[in-house]
This record gives sequence, C-alpha cells and structure tokens, in this order.
Amino acid sequence: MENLFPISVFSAALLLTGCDVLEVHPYDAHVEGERHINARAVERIEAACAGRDSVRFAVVSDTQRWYDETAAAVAHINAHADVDFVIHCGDLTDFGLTREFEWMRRELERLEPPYVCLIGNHDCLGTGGDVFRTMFGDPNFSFDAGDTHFVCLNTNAFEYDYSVAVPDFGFLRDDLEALGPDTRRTVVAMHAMPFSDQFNNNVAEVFQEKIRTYPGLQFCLCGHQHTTTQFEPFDDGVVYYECGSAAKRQYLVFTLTADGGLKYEVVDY
Amino acid sequence: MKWWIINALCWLAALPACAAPAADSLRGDTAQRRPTFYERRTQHLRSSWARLVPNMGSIHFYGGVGLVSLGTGWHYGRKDQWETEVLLGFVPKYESDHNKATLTLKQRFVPWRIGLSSRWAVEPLTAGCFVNTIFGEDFWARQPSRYPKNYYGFIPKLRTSIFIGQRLRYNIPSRNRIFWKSISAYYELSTCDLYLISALPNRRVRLGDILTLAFGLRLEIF
Repeated sequence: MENLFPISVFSAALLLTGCDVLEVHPYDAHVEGERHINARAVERIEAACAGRDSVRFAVVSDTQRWYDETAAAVAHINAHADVDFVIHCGDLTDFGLTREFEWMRRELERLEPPYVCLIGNHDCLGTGGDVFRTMFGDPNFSFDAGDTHFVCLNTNAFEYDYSVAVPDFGFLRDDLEALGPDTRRTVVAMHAMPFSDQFNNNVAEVFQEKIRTYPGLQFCLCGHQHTTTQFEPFDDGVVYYECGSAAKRQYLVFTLTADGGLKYEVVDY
Repeated sequence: MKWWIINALCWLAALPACAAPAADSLRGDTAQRRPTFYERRTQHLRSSWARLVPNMGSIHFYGGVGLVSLGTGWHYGRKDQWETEVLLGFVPKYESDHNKATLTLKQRFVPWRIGLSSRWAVEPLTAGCFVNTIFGEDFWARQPSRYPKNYYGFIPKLRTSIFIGQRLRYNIPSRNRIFWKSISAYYELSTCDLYLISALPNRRVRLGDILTLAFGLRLEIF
C-alpha cells in the first residue's frame, strides 16, 4: 500500500504533461492551439480560387456534441467531395464550453480543404462568443472565391436580447461598398434563418431587401433547425438551403458553374 | 517563540475555549454548586456553536473551479472520514471580458489513512463531489424569461463534478505547531456533468479529454 502513492503521483505527472488537464474553469475562455482559423482559411480560398469562374463547396452545420458524426463527415468530405472549401453554418458547441470548441476544432482541423465557421446560438452561451472570436474570428465576415462573393453573418439576435446589431447592417453596408468589380455572384450564409426564433424578425424583410442588393444573389445558406430542407421565405425567388445537423449524417455540396448554373447535392455519409 | 505558539493556539481554539474561563470564574465564586439551568443552557449553546468553527483550510489550484481557490471547511465523522469544504476561486479573464469569481461546495470521503511513521501518513483514496457556481452576467442560473421553456436544457452557472484523488499527510509535532496541526499535499482528478454527457455518446471524446487535474495543500487547524 505504501508503494501506491509514488506510482500515482507519477501517473498524475504524466497526465499533466500529456494533455490539457489543468483547467481553470469550463467557461474560462483559455484558448490553446489554433486561432484565427477563418482568416487563414479565407486567405487559402481566395488564393486557390483567384481568377476562376466556377466554385464547388460543401456545407455542414449543427455539429454540436456529435463528434463521431463530425469525424465521419470530415472523412467523407476528404475522400469524396472534391470541394474548394467547406462552410460550417454554426453551433459547433452545445453549451459554449471552451473544451467543446477545442474538441470540435480537433475534428474540423482534419479537413483537407480550408473551412470557415459561422457562429450559432449555442456558441454564444457563457463565454462561447469570446472563444469563437478568438478561435475563428469576427462572427461577420466575407470572402471571394473567384467571381463569387460569400457573406457570412451572425443572425442569433435572440441570444443578445436584440440589444446588439444582429444582423449587422453596418457590416453589410461596408461590405457592399468594398465589393470588387469582378463579383458576379453572391451567396449569403447564416446560422438562423429569417422568421426563426433566433432571427430579429422585425427586420427580416429589410434584411432580405438589403442582401438582394448584392450582385447576382444566388441563394442563402443556413442551419439551426437540424433538418436538411430548402424553402423560399419571401417568395422572391431567393432560396434558403438549410443543412441538417450532424445527427442526420448529411452534408450539402454546391457547384456554381462557369455558365452561371447551380448544382445542389445532398450527400449521405 | 513559545509565546507565539500559545497565542496562536488560543486564537485557533477561540470558540470552544471561550466557555472555559466563564466556568472557571463561576467555580471560584460558588464551589461545588450544581450549574443552574441557565448555565447549562448557555454552556450547551456555546459548545454547539463551537462545533461549527472551521477546523481546516486549503489552497487549491486548477480543477475547474478557478486558477487558485482558498477553502475553509470541516473534517468530521467517527473515523474522521468526512470533509466538507467551501472554496472561493479566482478565474482570470483570458479571452473573455472580465475576471470572474466562483464558489464551490465540496464533499469528500477519505476511507483510509495509512501511517508511514509518527509524522507521515498516506490517504490512498479521496473521493467526492462538488458543485461550482460562477459569477457574472454571462452565466444564468434560471433561463432568462425571453426564452421558451427548456430552450436550453442546462444551467450554465452551475456545474456538478465528481472526483477521486490521493493525499500525503505530514503531522506537525505538537511542540512545532504554529498555525496548523497537519499539512497534506493532494491532487484530484475530476470531471463535470457536461463533459460526461459529451463523452458518453462519442468515441472521439476520450477519458483524457474530460479529466481535470487539481492539486493543493490541505491545512488542518485542529
């Protein structure tokens, strides 16, 4: 019995050096490892797609607490999807815990194509918003893949009790002003779609009017309600494609062709 | 030096001792008189409250309750196998906007104590649970009224954890005591409710991912 203590102290010391067991608090926002993931992904996407008139990308969403399913999606995308990049439409975590972000990042980092993440309502819980900002970057961002402009927005107004500019029309105005002359098409991505419980529905129509001023608005992307579906909330020809949660084991693949066409696939994995 | 020892011991034993002088002075006045109901009653009251005086303290690092926490508590039980502790923890802001404070209520079971010598002892297993609450407007205990019922089925402000650990104890010989009767170094491995429910349905989240290490010193006062 006397010999037990040194052995266990030794194993505890091993654990200490082995992994991230010294935790201050589940909500400590003490981020280790990769940061600014979106900015680096955008750099890769813009460089790889520069000058191109077609683009192919995958969409995943709502992977919270479905790590095994996310790992399967990542493996499937790497093996079969042949895409330029991947968009995650938000809800990487269920509780906004710092470790949840790290566990989900560990899965997503195995993606071979660059990936960008949007913020979901669950990601805003506790200090989750701060962790998201550190790990991925500003929740509103945009990038160009060839001649197509991608706008990624925080639409979880309900999480801020409508007291913060969500969706941020200031960001949209600045982004529209900064748009390059070569932009032929636009895709708008968000977590919560207009008329959902999280969206600031008082401005839903205004929001739609605003994003329709982008050149060649193709369609919108969203997640949040965990089912793979498509709908046209404003009956104006702008389709919202919703990607189901990881539990549905599906991801979406979009191909925007040189002749202006769109190919939409739902992939089961 | 000797004066300090006596002084410190007097202070640490403050409440249980304070009944004694009163009894002594009474005995001087009226020798052999049976204490009155009033005297017995106040004596009982004093000794009951004296049992609530914390008899141990701790300095605790990490463990999901703060970078550093200071604790005070009680060890009790027929074989001194139970401990209850309250810890006040400090969480630096890191990437968030504010430093935060936490409060922990902890219950520990120490089934065995193995003496190695007159001074050293090993407690090969400590086990228990704790509830931690974190202060700050980002953490609600009751879902804000704007949400529909059970919109988020958990409480960000409150974490419940279980732990196991071990301790090495040094009993300070009575002539050398200044503040403490014994000092123990310990470590504890814990995991919290939300980590468990994340790991259970996922092979990708392993045991090492959900464990949290704490270490510290337990200071037994009396």
